[in-house]
Amino acid sequence: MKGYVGKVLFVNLSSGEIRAESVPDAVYEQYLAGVGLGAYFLYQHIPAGADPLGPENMLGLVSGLLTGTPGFMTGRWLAVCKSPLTGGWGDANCGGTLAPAIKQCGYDAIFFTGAAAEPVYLYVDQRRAELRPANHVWGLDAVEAEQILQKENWKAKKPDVAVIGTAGENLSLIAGICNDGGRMAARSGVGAVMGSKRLKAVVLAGVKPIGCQDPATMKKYSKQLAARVRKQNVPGLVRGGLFPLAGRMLSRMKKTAPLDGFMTVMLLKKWGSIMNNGMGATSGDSPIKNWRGSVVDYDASHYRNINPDHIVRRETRKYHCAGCAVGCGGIVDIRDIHGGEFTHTHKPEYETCASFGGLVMNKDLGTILYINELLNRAGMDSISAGGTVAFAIECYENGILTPEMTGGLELSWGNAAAIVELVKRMIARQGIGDLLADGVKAAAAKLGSRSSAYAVHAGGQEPGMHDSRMDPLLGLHFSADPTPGRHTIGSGQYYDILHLWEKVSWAPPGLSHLKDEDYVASEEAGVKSVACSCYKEVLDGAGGCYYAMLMGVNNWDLFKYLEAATGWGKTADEYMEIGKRIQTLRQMFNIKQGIDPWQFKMSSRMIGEPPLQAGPLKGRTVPIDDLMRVHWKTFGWGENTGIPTPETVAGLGLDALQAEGV
Amino acid sequence: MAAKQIPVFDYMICVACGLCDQACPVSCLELSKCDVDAYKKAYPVLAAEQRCIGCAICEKACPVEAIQMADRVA
Ligand code: SF4
Ligand code: SF4
Ligand code: SF4
Repeated sequence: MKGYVGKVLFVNLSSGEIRAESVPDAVYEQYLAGVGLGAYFLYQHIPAGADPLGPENMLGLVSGLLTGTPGFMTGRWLAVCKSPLTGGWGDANCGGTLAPAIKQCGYDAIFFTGAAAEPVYLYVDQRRAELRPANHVWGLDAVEAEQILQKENWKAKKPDVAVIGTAGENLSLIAGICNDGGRMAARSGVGAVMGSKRLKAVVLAGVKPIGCQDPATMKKYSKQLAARVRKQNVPGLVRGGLFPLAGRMLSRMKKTAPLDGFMTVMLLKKWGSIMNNGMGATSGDSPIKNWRGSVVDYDASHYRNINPDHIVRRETRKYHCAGCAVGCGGIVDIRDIHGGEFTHTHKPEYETCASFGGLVMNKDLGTILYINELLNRAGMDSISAGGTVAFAIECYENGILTPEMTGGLELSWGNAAAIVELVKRMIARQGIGDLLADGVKAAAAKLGSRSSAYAVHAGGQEPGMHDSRMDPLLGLHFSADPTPGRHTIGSGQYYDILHLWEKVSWAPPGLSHLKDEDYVASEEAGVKSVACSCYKEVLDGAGGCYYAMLMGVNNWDLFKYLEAATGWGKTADEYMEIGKRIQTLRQMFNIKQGIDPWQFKMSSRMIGEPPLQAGPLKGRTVPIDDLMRVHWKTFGWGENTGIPTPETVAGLGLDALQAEGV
Repeated sequence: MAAKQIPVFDYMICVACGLCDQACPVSCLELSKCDVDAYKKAYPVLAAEQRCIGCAICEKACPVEAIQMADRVA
């Protein structure tokens, strides 16, 4: 075994047919597993113009090539499909224990087409796969349904469950797919696709061990990493309250330089992603007040309430995705909030704290924790939900939404009680919540053109909580990735942390430079953004974690792990070529589905048109058109069209697929 | 019949990654030992010893060799 299983499962929910298919080794050598395998099958199977919520769409749950091997931080799975939110390639990434569970059943991926007449769930173990009625769990939230299905199906091994909540059932276009008590593959509207197929859950109870070529070498690398992770601890004096100061210092620096990503390990171990709470506000990283404000608005009297220490104090235990040595997750006690409706919740991510903090001007931490659990249970993306609430508040402020329309809800900035109520209505698709449950683009289309100025998105997807005006390459990835609006692909800062130049022959060295230079669409910017894109696809093909990526390849060497797992004898350059192939195929998927890549350009506010008048990002504008052109050109895609050129398609060996697929 | 051998964990080496728990075919491990470090990381314990079949799959799955199979003390 070379990490992957070599088999995938196809389930037709209309006919009930279930069939396993062997996948040739050559496919893994060209696409890895994970997102690459997903792109390979979805490109061929989803017809042009397919309705994302119709039976023709294919939904895949894909596991990474390294998942379940002794390679640390490779326990991430993805849901892949045509996105109902963007009309193009959709994917969403999640951890927990589901990724290895897919492979333990004997498959690298499970693909669904068609739609069931009645709610069903798929049960799989290493011997069988069958569709079973799910009427008894339809209508339940993701946590309740998971518990019931787990209990019912627990014979020997405790099953792992991927499940939608009511948001997915209600076809909310910002719904995700949950596992492990409310962790979520949240983005791209993947939960709505699952709901449209009336597939409530996938229950995985397989026990097949996961093998690889050279486990001893993988373990050797992991032991070295584990020893370093163990020693990497925050000095006792460092408190969460100091981060805003660090953010302020960052914002004043005129220069930027390569960083050692290993530093983040200690912060993740202690706090997790919420280390950026507060710091994001002062550095300019967190978008404030629906992207029109700054730390001048969301000042210390606000952000000190979301100090990460206040959250970690509630932690009863840490939470690791399977196979992670760092463990950025946690379980936090929330019995004192909202009358004890819930006992605990997964520690909220920074994204949630920002989207329901600064973005909506909320300073009540209890509200954030409560909404976190509401959304995890409903299976609704907190980034998109927060973005949509911010949009609604601004519409209310400008008289586009009236008290009559909101059913009396006073949607003012930071009105925590109203925000909670609005989220509940969005989940239930009740009143104004129905209009907002599909994200900002759909809502603006219904509310009329005056509202579109407040609908902040890229290609229909609400962006992650990192400000593109602070890092133009981040804005480029928001706009030019086949899955727009995503903060996890690349940025100037990521590039400086990745240290790809130590392994990849064509990656330019990260050098100390003036920040101002980042606001120029140089040729080097194109090479850096292409390098980030390619590397991210290799990461997602392997099942690697975003935080492992941000350790840099000098600390977490994905190429070395892949070599030990597969024994293919490939160089880092060759793996990056695979990344380029996957990314180009995702772009081809979009072209086949009729997307004009310019459509995905981020909203004016994210560009800085007009620029902010105050705060750390005052006066900043991203030269986005030029950046998109240079990125496409460097990729070998049409400089003015974003369409992969015939030479690039042929050079990557994608021409045969193209002939079959279109 | 209870297994002859059961896993023993070295918490000085273990990093609480949970792969052993995930690999166990009978789910007799539990990630519930939270008093090993100041972070409250949840380390594995053999929670249902009577169910353990002594297969050593957990031992093999561990990335850092923190598990050793040892004779069961009756
Ligand atoms: S760092 Fe966090 S998200 Fe990444 S694998 Fe570890 S626990 Fe999961
Ligand atoms: S020896 Fe086998 S049954 Fe026992 S804990 Fe390990 S994996 Fe589970
Ligand atoms: S697999 Fe090894 S390192 Fe991971 S939790 Fe189990 S014993 Fe600890």
